[in-house]
Amino acid sequence: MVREGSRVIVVEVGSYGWSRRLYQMGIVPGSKLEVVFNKGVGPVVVRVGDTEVSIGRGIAKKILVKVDSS
Amino acid sequence: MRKTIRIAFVGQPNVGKSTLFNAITRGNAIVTNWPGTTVEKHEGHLNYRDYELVVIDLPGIYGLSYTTLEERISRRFIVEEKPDVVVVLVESLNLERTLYLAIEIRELVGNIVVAVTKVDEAHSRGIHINFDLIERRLNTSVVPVSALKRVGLDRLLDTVIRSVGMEKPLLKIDYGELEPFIDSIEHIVQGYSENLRYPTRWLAIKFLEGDAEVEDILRKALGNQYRELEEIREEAKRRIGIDLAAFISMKRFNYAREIVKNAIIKHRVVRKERIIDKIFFNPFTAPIISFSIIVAIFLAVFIVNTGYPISDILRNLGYSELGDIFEEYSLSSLVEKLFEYIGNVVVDTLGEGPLTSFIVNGVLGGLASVLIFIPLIAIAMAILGALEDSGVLTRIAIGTHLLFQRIGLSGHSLLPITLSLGCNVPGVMGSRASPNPLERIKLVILTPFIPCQARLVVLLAIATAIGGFAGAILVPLAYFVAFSVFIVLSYIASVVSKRRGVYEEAELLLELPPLHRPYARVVWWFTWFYLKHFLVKAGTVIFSVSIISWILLHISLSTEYTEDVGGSIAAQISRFLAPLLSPLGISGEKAWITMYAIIMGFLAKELVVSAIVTATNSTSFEEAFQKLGLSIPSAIAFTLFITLYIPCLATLATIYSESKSFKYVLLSVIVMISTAYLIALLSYLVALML
Repeated sequence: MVREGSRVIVVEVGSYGWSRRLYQMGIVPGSKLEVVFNKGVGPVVVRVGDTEVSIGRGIAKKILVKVDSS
Repeated sequence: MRKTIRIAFVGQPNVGKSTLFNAITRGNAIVTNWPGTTVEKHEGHLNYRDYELVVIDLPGIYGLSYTTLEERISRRFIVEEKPDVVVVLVESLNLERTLYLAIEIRELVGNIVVAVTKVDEAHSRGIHINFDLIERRLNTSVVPVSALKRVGLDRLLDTVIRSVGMEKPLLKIDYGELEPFIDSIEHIVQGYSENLRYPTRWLAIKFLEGDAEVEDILRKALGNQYRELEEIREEAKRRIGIDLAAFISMKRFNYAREIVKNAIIKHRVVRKERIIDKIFFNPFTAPIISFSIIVAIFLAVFIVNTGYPISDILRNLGYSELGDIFEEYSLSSLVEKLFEYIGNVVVDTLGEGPLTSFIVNGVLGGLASVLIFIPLIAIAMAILGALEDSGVLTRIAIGTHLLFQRIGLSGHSLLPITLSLGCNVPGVMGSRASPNPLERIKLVILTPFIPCQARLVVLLAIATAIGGFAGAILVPLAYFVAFSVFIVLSYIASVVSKRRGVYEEAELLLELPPLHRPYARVVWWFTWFYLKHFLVKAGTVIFSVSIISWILLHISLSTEYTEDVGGSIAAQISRFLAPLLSPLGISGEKAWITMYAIIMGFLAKELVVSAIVTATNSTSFEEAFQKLGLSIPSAIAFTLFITLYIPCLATLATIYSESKSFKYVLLSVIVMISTAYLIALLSYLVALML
């Protein structure tokens, strides 16, 4: 799991029920995210572009990311 | 004759679509459902210049995939009903993501106008937008608006009128490596294009995305040749290497990003310290603050409406006069007094008789039982509306998500449960907030267990009549039992669905709107919407039921008018069913009255009180309740039974309209009656031992 404040790039969203909604919200492979809140339990909040999205932990766990070094 | 122009409004959630819709139609909208669904359709009519404008507000959607019902409704409407102009709303504060929908729609239709919303706010945050550039890149008119400040509304309508009949070529995005595949699919599909209402390139792209509805359309149209399309898609998958739907979304976002990069100049504004969010996302403080807010709201509403619990606390502290004043000047008692006064005037002018009784007890009584809910729903909805508009409600949903998950629900269920405390009808309607069908149906069935304010009125009346220690603990006990039942049944439901393999973890995926002070106008729209809904649906039900019950109460089996309730049709039915209550220690001469109250409570919960009063020929509820001669254990059992036993008629109607299934209505009735009976029996036995 990614720590609060880190910036990551989405590698894979995984294709299950929620993926299309995630795509439409701008969470697609290649998009840059900033983890705003992650307390170890409960929903995670990420910033995508100008909006923040709260993602249930179960969904968040299936999103594969890598560290954004830029 | 004015020329009619049909305009469809489309936009993502939170872009300010309903605000703009309300600002343009000035709140004059007809609300119906989309055919065969429970999704609401808002349609507004207005005369503007020489035209009659019909504005259809499509549901808030993020894109045009087939995954949600709202998306399917929207795209079907756009293609099959062919509105003259589609207005796509794009938010200036969140241009990149909201442009995504505009791009998708621009790929499907040739005649759109883009409205860029909240420009006043963007300006104050130092965001400057080059609208001409967006206009060029999307090849469509773009109008900046601010619905709250009423800026740009006329210009938007003028632009819409001007663009009627000005079809432009569809937007073509470069899908890179996917282009040759799109071409070959289009090539095949073109041979069948007369049978297809959708543009061929759009069908090709959606087919590659794996859109189930488009697959169906093509399968039917192409017959044997459909196989070829599938082969092309397989080949494309191999070439691209990732999920095609993700690839296509990515390309659209790149297009949006390109536009935003060149069209926006942003002065970096320092982000505010996010203390509020820190509280709401801390796993320890989140549930505490969230539940405190909800409890505080309902205490406030209860106090304004009935005086409870302040009146009781004051009495227990020895200030009984002060407590009485609180109760006397509460809204429900004021409305009651008003109708008592009108009733007396009617009796004075018309004299006693069947007609007077019909007017006073039937018509006025019915009117009062509807009116009594108006201030209460208005206050609760205004507070909820303010929480919703300010963005706090989303944070409460997130803050309580973890706790809800333990009983197989998600943070989405907070709204329906909260609404249910006021009235179960909007509560059941609010179950739509959940995107998970299993969670939704669970909420539809279980939220009626949450005691509504009508039941609070009954509970308070009984508690006052009993008095003493039992009276003091009665109301908290009933709420405790009701919530426990809700929690336990919800938990059992998730265990059962897990066993049957249909369980899906209730998850949460919510956009987090920025916090801001609520706008009075938006709060008013929210309140008015629910109030209107209540007045129309519940109002007609409660009102007509009051009249029917007057007839049942005052007409005997030989169809004659009778002053004696004991001889009425209603009493006969109740006598027949009364033996069912003897296990609860309720038997004898007066048992039918209790049964009769229970039956009336099914029509509308608050009728329990008046039913007991009229059937015992008493002047006050306290006197009436004494006449029933219930022992304390029986009274407790009766109270708990009343709290849990059945959704009222209006709620049942809503359960049907939400689930579109008699099976679920029946299930709800069976679950509630059996639970209520069991709990009542148990509490009676326990109370006997104490």
